[in-house]
Amino acid sequence: MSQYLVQRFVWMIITFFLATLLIFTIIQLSPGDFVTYIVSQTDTTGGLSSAATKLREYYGLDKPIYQQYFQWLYKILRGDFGYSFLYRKPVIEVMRSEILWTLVITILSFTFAWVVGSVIGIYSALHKYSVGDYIFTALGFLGLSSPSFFIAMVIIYILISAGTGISGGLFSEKFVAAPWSWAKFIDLLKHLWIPIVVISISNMAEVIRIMRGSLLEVLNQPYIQAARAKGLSERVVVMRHALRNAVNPLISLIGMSAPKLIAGIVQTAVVLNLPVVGPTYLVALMSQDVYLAGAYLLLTVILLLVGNFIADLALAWIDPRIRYD
Amino acid sequence: MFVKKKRLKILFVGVMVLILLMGIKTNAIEYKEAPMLVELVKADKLPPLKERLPQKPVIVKPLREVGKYGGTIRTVFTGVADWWNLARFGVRDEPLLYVNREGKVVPNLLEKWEYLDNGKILKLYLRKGIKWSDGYPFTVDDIIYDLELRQNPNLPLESAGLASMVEVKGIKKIDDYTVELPLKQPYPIEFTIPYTPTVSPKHYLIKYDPRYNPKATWADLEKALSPQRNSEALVDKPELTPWKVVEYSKTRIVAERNPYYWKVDSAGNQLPYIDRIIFTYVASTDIIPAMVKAGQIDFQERHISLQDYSFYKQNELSGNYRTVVLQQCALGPNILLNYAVKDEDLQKLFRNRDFRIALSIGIDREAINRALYFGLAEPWGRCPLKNSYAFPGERFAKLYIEYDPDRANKILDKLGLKDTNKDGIREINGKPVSIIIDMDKGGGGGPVQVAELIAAQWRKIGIQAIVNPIERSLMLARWKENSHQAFAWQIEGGLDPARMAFAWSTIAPPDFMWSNVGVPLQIWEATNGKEGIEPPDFIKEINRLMKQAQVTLDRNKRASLLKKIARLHAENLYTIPTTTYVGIAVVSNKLQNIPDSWLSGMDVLSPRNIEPWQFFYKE
Repeated sequence: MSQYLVQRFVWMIITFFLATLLIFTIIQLSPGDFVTYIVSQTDTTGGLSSAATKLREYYGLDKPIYQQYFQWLYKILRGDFGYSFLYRKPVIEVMRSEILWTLVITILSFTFAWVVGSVIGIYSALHKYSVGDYIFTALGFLGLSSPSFFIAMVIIYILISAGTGISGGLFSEKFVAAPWSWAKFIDLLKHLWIPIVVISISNMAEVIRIMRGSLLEVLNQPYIQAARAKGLSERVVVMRHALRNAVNPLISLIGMSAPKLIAGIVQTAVVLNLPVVGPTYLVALMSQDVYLAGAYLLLTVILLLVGNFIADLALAWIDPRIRYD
Repeated sequence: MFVKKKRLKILFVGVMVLILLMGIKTNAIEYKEAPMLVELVKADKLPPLKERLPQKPVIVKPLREVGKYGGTIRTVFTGVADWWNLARFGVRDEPLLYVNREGKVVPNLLEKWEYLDNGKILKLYLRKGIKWSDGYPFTVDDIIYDLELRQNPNLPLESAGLASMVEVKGIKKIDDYTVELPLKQPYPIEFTIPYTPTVSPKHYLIKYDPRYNPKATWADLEKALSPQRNSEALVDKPELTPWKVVEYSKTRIVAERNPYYWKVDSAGNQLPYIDRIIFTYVASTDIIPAMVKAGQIDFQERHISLQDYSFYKQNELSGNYRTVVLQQCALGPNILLNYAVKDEDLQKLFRNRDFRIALSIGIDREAINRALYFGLAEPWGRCPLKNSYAFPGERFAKLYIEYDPDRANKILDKLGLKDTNKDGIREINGKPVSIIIDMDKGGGGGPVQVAELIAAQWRKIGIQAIVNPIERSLMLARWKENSHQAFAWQIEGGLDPARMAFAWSTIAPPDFMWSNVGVPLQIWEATNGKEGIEPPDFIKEINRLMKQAQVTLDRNKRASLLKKIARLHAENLYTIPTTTYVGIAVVSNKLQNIPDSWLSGMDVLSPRNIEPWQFFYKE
């Protein structure tokens, strides 16, 4: 067991370093740099092209790439994610307020997707080829194949046409700057369900498919037949014998889904104008604000690694076969 | 006795006149202020209005009627880089002079200006008694300090416009309101309009200036200045604008009335009428139509896409707003051929006037107008706009813009461009005549569909055009290494080509590549022909005249030079023209003193030209 853990951990560290290298390379791949962006944004009035050299020196962008990379890495290891050119602030400060909302929205929608998705998945597996199964399967495929931002746009269109005055965001205008109160909380709920539903739909579809498939496979196993033959009640057969073995793929999926906590809502957040990390990440990429964009990617990588590590642990805990490998 | 009586009479009349004058004077200085400021004055948090206003405040005649105080204008912004949005509305960077709604250049912070020594010295006279939003007097020190900062190698500041023309060492301060700026060459002051004004609050900034405060660093000063960037620093930085930022976060910026604003309306009410401007952050401009429909935007000109025109029109009732069609100062996206293109055959063709004429009459401009501009634009040649002082006459605006594919085909046949392999595309030296047209895929230079429509039309005259929509920074990179063949971009300076000389000649410095027709042409010009590639003769003539126009202070003389330039542009098709350009704005029905339409664009820095400080809400 401990050898398994150590092995996993070492791989995690190595992957992390490879990821930093990859991230930095990818960010540098696009032509130009932050200064090019600034010059291109000043429109045709910018005399900034004359100040470009000055600006590059100012931001340290005139140094060789490998030097910039090692400086970045050195700082990260000390917990400093660098400085955002665009906001003239440490990257951490730019992200701080957004991380909270990101976690609130994604954790809520993931819980929603997983709970509802599992229940539907179990129902579909147990009532294979019933009308309910067909309906859920159809809905599941629809959810899986429609991009979440598109669903968001449809919902917004309906809400505005209905005259609700909700066009995205998390608060109505009068509550944006107001201190917390019951009314503000209610207002938040009125807005919050949109991203939660939108993000849940595609995830839910995935959970339903996996839960249904996995459970169906397990239900065909000989030991289930044996359990039934012993005369156990259907409830015990499903809950104790089948379900336990069927959740394995779902747990691996949790690990793989961890980065979605940040990456999964980028487009939706842009469409819905949410104060989460997504839009900022997009702007950082477009403006070549390398350290800010890098920090987001790094955070996603860390979540992926930690998520997988935890999923591995959970699998080992649930399934002794993995433990003793 | 008789004499005495006469004297008495004179004395009497004199006294009467004096009393009358005093009466007028006391009437005139009874200024009024907004209720929210009255409260502050009562609470002793603000000096009385009389002390805040200059002795002779600027009197603004409202567009339609004297307004009422109060209300909030809600609008959107797109983040840190969207600083022009704030500046153009009057929330930061008050200008020395601006263009008003009639298109006239009017002094703003300046009372007047004059040129001495054959235009070698620019003498500025400031309006007296203007105060910063923190109550500190505004003087020429704030201009001198700013000009010096822009020359400072430790600060990466813009040094275009006035800052690039002034010899900082020779600046002579006459008194607090008068200064003499020695110029490198005569420079019409209206050319400074599209640049950030060279005014900074010295009394505030020296706290962050390492030359005055040993504890401060250059980075602190840069942060406090917040140049060409929105940031928290704007909350503390004093301004001379009608509103100033009082609350800043990533999701919204709130600006409130500046209690020291130095303009009053014709009834003596201190401006602005509107209490507050709220800029809401949008991650994507695609969300704006939804917000407008939901009635969450009161005024929006920037970031509004003409493509959504029919949507805005349809929803005017539910959103209680009106859609305004605006005339852009820029011309619609032209095709800018690279006269220095690396492919020699193509370069020879591009430099051939007949070839350019064939390309131009091979474009169906009415179709473009209908498809992209809802018929609101007008087919237009390579020519300044009608309301420009450089407009050379209707004939030139309509030159080579009729759609005549037959004639175009004949011209191309005559040039020896034959379709030898019968694939529908003409060949030159065995290669197909093919032009790659770059375009900003973000729509910065105008709608990408323009190039696509033109490409389809050119196919009918046997020319292959490939539209290449790419990222804006990539376009810059391609210009720089001269690897592009052509690109489509709107043409700035339809109102004043001299102010936007980069779009009407190749005299811009080589690192300023906007609207280039081949950067090597600019290098050739900058190095007096030592490096780069020689421009065609007509461009050399345009450049010669444009250089002259740049130093011509007299507006009439400049106009006649510019008309000559405009004729050369139209006759030679400097770029392949398309149409005029329109934009749209949405305005709440409750908002008043807003014209039915106005000029839009960088030339006039709209909506500054329609004077937002006299907008007001009707019940």
